[in-house]
Amino acid sequence: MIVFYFSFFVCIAINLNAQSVIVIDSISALPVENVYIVNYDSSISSVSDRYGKVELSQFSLTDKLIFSHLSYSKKYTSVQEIAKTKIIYLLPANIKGSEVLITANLENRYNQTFTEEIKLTPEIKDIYLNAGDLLKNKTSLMIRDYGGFGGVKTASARGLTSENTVVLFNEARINDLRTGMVDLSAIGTSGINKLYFQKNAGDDVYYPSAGGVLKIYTGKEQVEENINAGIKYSSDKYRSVSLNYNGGNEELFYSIGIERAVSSNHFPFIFNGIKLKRENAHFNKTFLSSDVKFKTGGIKLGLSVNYFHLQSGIPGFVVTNNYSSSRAQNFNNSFLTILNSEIILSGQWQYLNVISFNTQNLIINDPDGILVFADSKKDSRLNDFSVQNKLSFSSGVFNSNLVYSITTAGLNNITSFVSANVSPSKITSLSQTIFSGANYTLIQPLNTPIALRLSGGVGLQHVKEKLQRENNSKNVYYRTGISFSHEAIPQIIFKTHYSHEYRVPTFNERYYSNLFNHYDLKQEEYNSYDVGFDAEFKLFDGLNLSAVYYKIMGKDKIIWIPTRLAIQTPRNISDVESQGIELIATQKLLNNKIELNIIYNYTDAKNKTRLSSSDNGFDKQLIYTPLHKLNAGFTYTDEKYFVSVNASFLSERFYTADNNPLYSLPAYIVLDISGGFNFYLLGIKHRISAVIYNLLDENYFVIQSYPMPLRTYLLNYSMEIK
Amino acid sequence: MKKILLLLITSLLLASCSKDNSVEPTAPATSKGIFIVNEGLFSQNNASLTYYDFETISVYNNVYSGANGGTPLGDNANSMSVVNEKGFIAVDNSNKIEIINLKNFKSLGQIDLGAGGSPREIWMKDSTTGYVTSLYTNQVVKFNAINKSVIKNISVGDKPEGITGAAGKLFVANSGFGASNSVSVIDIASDAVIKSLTVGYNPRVIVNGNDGKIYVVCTGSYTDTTVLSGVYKIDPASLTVTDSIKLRGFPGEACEVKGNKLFVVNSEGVYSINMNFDSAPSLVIPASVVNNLTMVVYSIAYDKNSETIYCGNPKDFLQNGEVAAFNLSGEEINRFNVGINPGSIVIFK
Repeated sequence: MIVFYFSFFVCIAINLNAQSVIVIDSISALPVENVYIVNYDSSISSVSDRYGKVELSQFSLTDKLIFSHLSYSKKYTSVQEIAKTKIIYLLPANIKGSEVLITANLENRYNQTFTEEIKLTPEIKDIYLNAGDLLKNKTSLMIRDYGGFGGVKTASARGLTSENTVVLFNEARINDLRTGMVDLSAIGTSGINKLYFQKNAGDDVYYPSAGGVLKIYTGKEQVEENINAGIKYSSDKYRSVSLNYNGGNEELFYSIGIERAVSSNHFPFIFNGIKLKRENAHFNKTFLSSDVKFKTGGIKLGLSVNYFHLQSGIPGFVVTNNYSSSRAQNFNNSFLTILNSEIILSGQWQYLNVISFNTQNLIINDPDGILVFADSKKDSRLNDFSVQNKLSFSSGVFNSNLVYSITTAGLNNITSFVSANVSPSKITSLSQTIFSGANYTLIQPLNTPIALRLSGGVGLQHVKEKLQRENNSKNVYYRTGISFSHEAIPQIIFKTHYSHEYRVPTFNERYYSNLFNHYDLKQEEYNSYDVGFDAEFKLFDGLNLSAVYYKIMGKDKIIWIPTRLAIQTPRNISDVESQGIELIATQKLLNNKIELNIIYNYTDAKNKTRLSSSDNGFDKQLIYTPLHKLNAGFTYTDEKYFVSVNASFLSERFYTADNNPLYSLPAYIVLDISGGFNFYLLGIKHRISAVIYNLLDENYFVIQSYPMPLRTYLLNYSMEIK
Repeated sequence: MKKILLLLITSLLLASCSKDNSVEPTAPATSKGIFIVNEGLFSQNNASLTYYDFETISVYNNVYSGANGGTPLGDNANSMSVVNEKGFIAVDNSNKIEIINLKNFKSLGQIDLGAGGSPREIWMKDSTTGYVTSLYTNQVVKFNAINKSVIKNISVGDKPEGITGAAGKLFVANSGFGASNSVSVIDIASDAVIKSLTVGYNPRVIVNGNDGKIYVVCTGSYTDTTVLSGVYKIDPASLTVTDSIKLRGFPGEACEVKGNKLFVVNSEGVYSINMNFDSAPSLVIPASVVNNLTMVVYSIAYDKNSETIYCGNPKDFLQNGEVAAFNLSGEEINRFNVGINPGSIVIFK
């Protein structure tokens, strides 16, 4: 909640012209109303409104100003100074301490977990067409990519599987209950407004999550009306059209976006030394998103309605003599509706409510009967309805929240393509969660030159599922964290976290086969900690650094094991241990026109279960987990031109449990470059850009038997009407 | 540009490089031994062939890849039939039959069964003609082994697996993935289905007995555990099911051994069944002795010269497996490493 308000006001401040600034409480990050602003000779004055906004148009650029309020210490500054920052922090009068620390601690407030924020500029959206490709190149997340624009892409972190990473779409969890994952290739970038990867759930995310939280937000809040339209075309026949409209006033914001994409996905790849074209990987998708946000007084409402339609081939694996191993087709229609409410009950109390309803219709046609067991067609509908209630308290130094959430879901037909069940039974699920989180800030405790924030949360989740018989599970999870900064180096925020998380088995894991009874499959459990720092230095136009060491110990990990009957069955068979280092550096130069960034991951994720003396999988790297991952990027952007170069490196990965070197995917480097220019014609801003993916024509695989495209080209045209 | 990038991250490459530099020993020209057809991991294109030489008492892994310039055998190699020093390997997910020279493991070519061909088990009529069950097309495919072409497709029951020939007939086990209980009978002269016999559910494995009878191992239903599984005896002359014996625990792979016995693998291990079906089956080799990871025996074969039983151990199905050798009393003689998921063991003499 605090994050939202702060970000909201920062956005407002940035979007306004230099004639207004925002006044913020430096502890609570809330706007401060009725702050009296006067110039030194008291000839001109102004007062901040309920949003903390202050108009400066009546002051001259040379004026020196005094900000005063009964509850806050006076602040002395100048128009020139605040015109640059656009934000004024006021220190509550009852707080004594270093303003440097307080300001630094304010930064750490909304970034008390290790969080990666992906800046979504129009140029970035030109290059990366879906959330999966964007995250692969711009974050530390590991994206399992099955190839091409339409290939399934799932996100995982720190050596864990994708089911452990919670994906929130406008605050609603969208992990598929059947698989636990989200196909990020289905989420187009054109409609996304904000994208964060939060490595720890912290005290503000109530879902259990060992693999971090991916937050996706659509809908802009801007008073300026604009329309964006774009066309894309690629060398392997990908075509898309997108249209986005944003508008509003100070109380009402609305946006709507639509994207249609069609592709033969007939991209080139090399297999057994022969250049081939990918078959049965075509897709046809529509993504429609609409957002309305209304706020008045202490109430804020938001409605997000999203529709997704996908019709695609399921290309299958590529193996010797079997280049087109599937003729299966997939149809997916989904509606996701989310209603967000925020009500300020008093100066310190706030109530938030999120109601979401998601309905998905999935049809699999498989004429060869390879993916689908008994019949050649499977048809299922998955509905889930969720209500989340959150009561928040903020006194400035102490913030807490209490969450009660209930989710009910139903899958009408268990015989989806990943299930070996042949009777079309229905699964129902009811999940209830209570979570409480809090954080407490100490400025210079015991006269030490540090600012300290303690945070923590504890939750209890009860899940009741029914398929022929009932299955109940109760789980407790908890987290704690400390972040602090020192007066001598306020630019650096040191952080450490510990959490105990778990993951409930997915529908597929629990109900895949009614022959091998795994109804009682236990949840996976994880204990994890990390330690590191985030830093921001004023080097040239800004240098941001982040360095984290983490360790995760997992128990009862669910592994799919083929049986002698050729049916896979999941079992809680494995303990795992994952540790690693995550380094991120971003340097801005030349008045923020140039950005250099490097993201490096070292992941040592091992199987720690030795089932017997002949088990050669013990202490071996988990399959498909690279030891090293590196992304390096260069971007130049000015009013007219932009250029971007991105290099991705992934080290060797094994795909057998014993890390047999005969069965490994070799290391690869992929280089993408793009460039474009803007121009104005008839008062409209136009942009033309081109992207070359895999410039070096690298023949590589992320998943064995699912080839990645060789060099492909993309042409973009877009326009913006204001 | 690529070289510059590679230099920049050389340290990472060196750090990440952990390749095992050991080289598989070169296999000798084969004389007597056993071949292990390793399925590999589904859709990972890493099926392989292992050869164990009786004379040198040595095991040689990846002999196909080693003899053919590193070319992988394919995806999900299911079984192999041998005739005149040629091996015919059914490579399921690669939709092909790979023909190899068993003396030097060199490829003699492939028979492409087309999309969905899914070959499972092969029966060679002679050195020029063979029949293979095609799982997803519900057919038996007749092929020419010399010019490597498909001659005819014969429609049989649902999801055919095991196949064998006797008395001028082909007997095809139609598994139905657990839902079928029939054996199709094909007249070899006319290549036409002449009869369908009813046996237990999920017939998968067919063995020719030295007594002239056909033994069909029925694994049982995957959805109804009350349906009993067992072994059914067919008289190829009268084309009738003459007898049966129940065996629990999803029986599958089987072989005939000395003393008029069938050794049948189920979830408990290896059971011995008197081929007269006049006594209860008895456990000879517990599964835990073969495989102490997941207690699964994956394949079985019998060498009559040495009176040795060979059992395939897939371990946890995710890494290289083993083959364990036992005498007829169930005592372990030897054990050696093979490829991933040793699904079929073939004695070569």
